[in-house]
Amino acid sequence: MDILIVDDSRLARRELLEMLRGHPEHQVVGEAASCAEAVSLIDKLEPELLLLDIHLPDGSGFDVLEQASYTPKVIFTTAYEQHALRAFEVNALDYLLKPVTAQRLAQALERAGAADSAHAKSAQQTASRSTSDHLFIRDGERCHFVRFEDIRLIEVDGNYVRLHFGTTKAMLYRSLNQLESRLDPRMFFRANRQQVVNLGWIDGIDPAVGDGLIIRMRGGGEVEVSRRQARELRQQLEL
Amino acid sequence: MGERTYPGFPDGNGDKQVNNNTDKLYWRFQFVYWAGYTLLNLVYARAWGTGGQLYAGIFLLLSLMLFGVTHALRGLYRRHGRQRSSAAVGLHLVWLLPLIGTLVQLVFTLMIWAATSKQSLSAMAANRFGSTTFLAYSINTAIILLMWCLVCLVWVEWRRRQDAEREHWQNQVKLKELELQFLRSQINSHFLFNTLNNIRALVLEDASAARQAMTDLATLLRGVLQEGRSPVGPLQQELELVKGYLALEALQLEGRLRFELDIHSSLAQAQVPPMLLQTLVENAIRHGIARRSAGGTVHISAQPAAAGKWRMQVTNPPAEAGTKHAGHGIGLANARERLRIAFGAQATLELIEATSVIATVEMPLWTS
Repeated sequence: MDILIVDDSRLARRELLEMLRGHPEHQVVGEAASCAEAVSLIDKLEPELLLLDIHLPDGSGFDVLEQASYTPKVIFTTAYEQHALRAFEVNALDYLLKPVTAQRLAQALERAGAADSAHAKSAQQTASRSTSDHLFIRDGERCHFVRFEDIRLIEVDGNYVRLHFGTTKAMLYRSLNQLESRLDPRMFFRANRQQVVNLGWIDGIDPAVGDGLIIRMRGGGEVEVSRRQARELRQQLEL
Repeated sequence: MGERTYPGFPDGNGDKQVNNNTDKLYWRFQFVYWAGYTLLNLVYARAWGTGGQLYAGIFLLLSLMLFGVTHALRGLYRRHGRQRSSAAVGLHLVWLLPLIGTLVQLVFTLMIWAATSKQSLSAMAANRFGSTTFLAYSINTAIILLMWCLVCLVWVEWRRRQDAEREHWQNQVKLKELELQFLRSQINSHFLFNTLNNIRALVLEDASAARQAMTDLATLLRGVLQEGRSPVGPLQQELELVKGYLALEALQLEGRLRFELDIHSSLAQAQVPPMLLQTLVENAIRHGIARRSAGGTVHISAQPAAAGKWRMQVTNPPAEAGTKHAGHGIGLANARERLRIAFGAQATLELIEATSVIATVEMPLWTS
């Protein structure tokens, strides 16, 4: 995997570089010492994995994930504060305590790699490499890594969007247009000006007045498809 | 930690002290109450025109009997009543006191009768057995006893409440202390593990610098472990420790951390609470320098001030706008506490947050 190391301490980065020499199957493609630097390097290099320190001089590791337009896999590194990681559900992510033991590093890398290959099979690796398979969302105190295939519905809410997944509806502080560029067009369909649906979550489609369509969603709810988009949807489903 | 005692809060030894005081108070009350009762009886008797030494003796005897009875009641309470609520004890008094009142009068009258059967008083003794009079005397005694019991119970109840309150505050203080220690240990842990990690990398590039860092860390840890041992130590020693601490922080922050020392030569031996300067410098770095991409300078100064005092100042640029301030004032609260222990009200610690952040400590100039 291509790895980006984010840590404000040069010595800490040096330490990780040294340890990663024992894993020649992975390459370190860059190093960042601050949030701003990390965000720009993620967008530029599109690494597969971040080794991300939680404390950075201009913010936190979470800020990096929130601001970057691309979400790589993440292994957090921290000297002590596990409580910063409590925001996550169990098993949602991996973290390493500094100083890092060789054993834990190997374990974490293996786990990240395994998740990668499992997903590669399920997604049939048709998308370009730049499309990551998940999103980072901070919803108040809670943080989520959400896989795109688990997002049922995306709705405009003011200037931002609201994502429906699992039992949660969480805000993502991006415009729908910004987000749409990251969505796989074979997975998501724009039903109208306000809503984007995940085609995998459609339960059934009914005709509606005036050539429109109504989508019934798995797990409840209906979405109206505008006339123009209905034509598009029919074409897409025929294909 | 647990060895610390709080002035004003009795510990195990203090409880004995309290019991002693309670005993003294009880005996004083006993004496005053029954002496008062005797006197009152005498005054009444005189008013009725039946004074005299004999009556004085009789009343004294009655008071002594009641003195003994109430002391026995106290024993009864200590054995069976303590665990019960005051209301439950009061409920038992409802049957106990009339019974005791009657018994006391019975014994008392028999005693008078036995001692004076051939004398003029026998008439009075006989009179006492007249049923209504005897009843009146019994009720009178029961009421006197009831009053005694009420005073005691009210006092016990008041004490109970006071104890509960005292215990509550005692627990609060202990809780705060633990909280402080917990938070402080957390702060140090973060720094500690980062430092160990940095030294581990430093070994690869500069072995002698790594050795120096180990020495600095040892000095600092010794300082932390000995923090509570003595209330003050010489500034010079504190400065050595802080320089080592700064060197360790510089491993993490490198070029972002700069510092200046401006120490007046006369103050090398000035007495200062151990780890106080370190706490202020740690705050300056954690809440200032570490939260600036470009870093900054920590300025440490020590200068004599007016009226036999001197001033220690730590100045740093504030955190970058937009970064969250995670300060909970624990470091400052802790520093103030240590100042208070060392100098009482004579020392002050002020923090000014403006274009730069300035922590100023003013304390009396003691030299060893």
